Amino acid sequence: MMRVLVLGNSHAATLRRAFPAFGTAVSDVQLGFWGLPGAAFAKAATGPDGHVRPDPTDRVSRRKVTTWNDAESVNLAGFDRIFLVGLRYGLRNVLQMMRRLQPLNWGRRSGALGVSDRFLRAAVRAEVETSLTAQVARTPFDARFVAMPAPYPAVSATALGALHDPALTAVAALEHAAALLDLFEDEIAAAHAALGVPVVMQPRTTLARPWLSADDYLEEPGRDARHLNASYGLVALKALMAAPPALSAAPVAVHTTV
Amino acid sequence: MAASPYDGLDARAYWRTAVATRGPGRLRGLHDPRFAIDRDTPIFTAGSCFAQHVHRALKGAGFAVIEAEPAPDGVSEAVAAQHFYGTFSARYGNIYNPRQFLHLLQEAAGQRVPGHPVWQRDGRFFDALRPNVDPDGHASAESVRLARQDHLEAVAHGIARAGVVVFTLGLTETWEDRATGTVYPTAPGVLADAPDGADIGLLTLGHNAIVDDVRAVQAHLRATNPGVKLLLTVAPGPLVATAAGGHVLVASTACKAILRAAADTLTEADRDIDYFPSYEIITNPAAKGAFFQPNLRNPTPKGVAVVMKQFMAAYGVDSQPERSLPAPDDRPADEDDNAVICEELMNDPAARGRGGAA
Repeated sequence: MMRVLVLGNSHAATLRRAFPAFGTAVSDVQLGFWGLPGAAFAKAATGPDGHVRPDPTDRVSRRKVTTWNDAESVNLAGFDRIFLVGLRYGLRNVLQMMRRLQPLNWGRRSGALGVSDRFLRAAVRAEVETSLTAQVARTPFDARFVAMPAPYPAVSATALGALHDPALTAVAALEHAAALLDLFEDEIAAAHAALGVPVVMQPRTTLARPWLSADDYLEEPGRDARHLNASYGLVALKALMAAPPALSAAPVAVHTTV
Repeated sequence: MAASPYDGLDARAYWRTAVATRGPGRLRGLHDPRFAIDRDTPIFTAGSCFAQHVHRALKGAGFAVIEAEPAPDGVSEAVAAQHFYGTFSARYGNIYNPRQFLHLLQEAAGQRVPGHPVWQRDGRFFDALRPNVDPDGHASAESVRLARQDHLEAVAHGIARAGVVVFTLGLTETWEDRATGTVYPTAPGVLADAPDGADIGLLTLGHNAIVDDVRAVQAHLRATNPGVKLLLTVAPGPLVATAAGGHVLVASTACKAILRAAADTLTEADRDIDYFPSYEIITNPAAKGAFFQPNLRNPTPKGVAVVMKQFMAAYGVDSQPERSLPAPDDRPADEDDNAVICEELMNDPAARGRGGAA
């Protein structure tokens, strides 16, 4: 029996909702979960005893930890594999940069500052590495870890209204949206490769188009364009299970079509 | 016996009292400004590597330093610095001599078309006139051309606003396209390769050439901005390497002597040109070399701080510490050089990983 921990923020909780469906399909895996809402999880850290705990000074963390989890901490030693789910790798700032900057080998774009392709890549790389470095400082990786970024917001986020995300909408509408997505994910993969930890990108079947999840996977359509449902969670969980189980010489991003 | 003209002078006129018995950081009265500079004076900075310290220190001290090409919002300071955002008043990189500066101003004014503006390396394309501002180059020659077009607009816009242009004279050796006279900040093969057939060779600028070029710069500035002043400095660091065939120490001494003498010639003839003695502050014998880092080339942060303290004192401005910036990594920056990027370093093959000097 392989013991698997899904660790992370609200996007990890999406995978938790898929546990029953996953369990009926796979019998030799025991799934566990520990997580906190985004801001609280971003303060949770692993102590010398190997337990991940919330920030004891954070009131929200203290309150949420008992409502989200069976225990106030989780001992990582109890698991064979650990899926770290939901990091955004500076996505908000990355989108702003991609909106404002245009690699000039693609020609000019109105309203965007022309830059070299490598400048944009370097700027994105810095965001990704800053985000990942902060996470590793809180919870160091080991050979059991596999990461999966937060899913991209859904198409609904491009419609005007309460769910509207201007930067995402702008970038998703760009002529080179697909290439920009590849750039972002390449940098995520490279940052993980440097740490020897595999990363599984959002399964492509769950995307409506580059940068946008399909609305079919929304947990609360009309109310929330960012959090996906158990159907997505099942696809994501299967993709994580299919990822390389341990350190390899040169981990690469897995673009699964599960 | 009649009194000597050397009798009864200010203490600063005597080596013993002005230098020998004072600490290197306690020199006084080094500079008598010809024109005022205050925190509201729009300052345009350009020049060799040392000018990066000047730009940063003035900006950190709250001066109205022009930044015509500011870093894009949201980009990390380290990445911006690696790409020469916020390093000078625009992203022209290091301008080692006044001819290079003159050509830039002329090109920005639509008066000059450079020869061989795009060089290549490993399938990437580089702006030959500022090859290090995008250290990994561009994906296409057209991308280089468009970026340069934007850059020139920024230069023209920035220079038009300048009240004072601070220019640091750095080198006398440069690399010239024989056909067009275009000078480049680096030799072919240092950061990128010139196109086949380009006839680019070493050009050593002498005293008169430096003087003529600075005068041409000043004339160009005045044509668009009549009240503009020019403040010269000489970079204190010796040459990384000389391609002229002699010993680098001798070449360095000649270079700095030429630049320093040219500055004197220029200031004697034009009241709108001044010289600030940062070179003297860093190299003065009282410092016993302590203002140079162990490589005996780069100024120490303390040396730079002393320069800027003297600058503030001369212009009657309260001194503030130079704001520190993250050191650009992944760059061949000088060891311990406090965030200065200097492609001249690449003139030493050892810095490029191509073997050390003999």
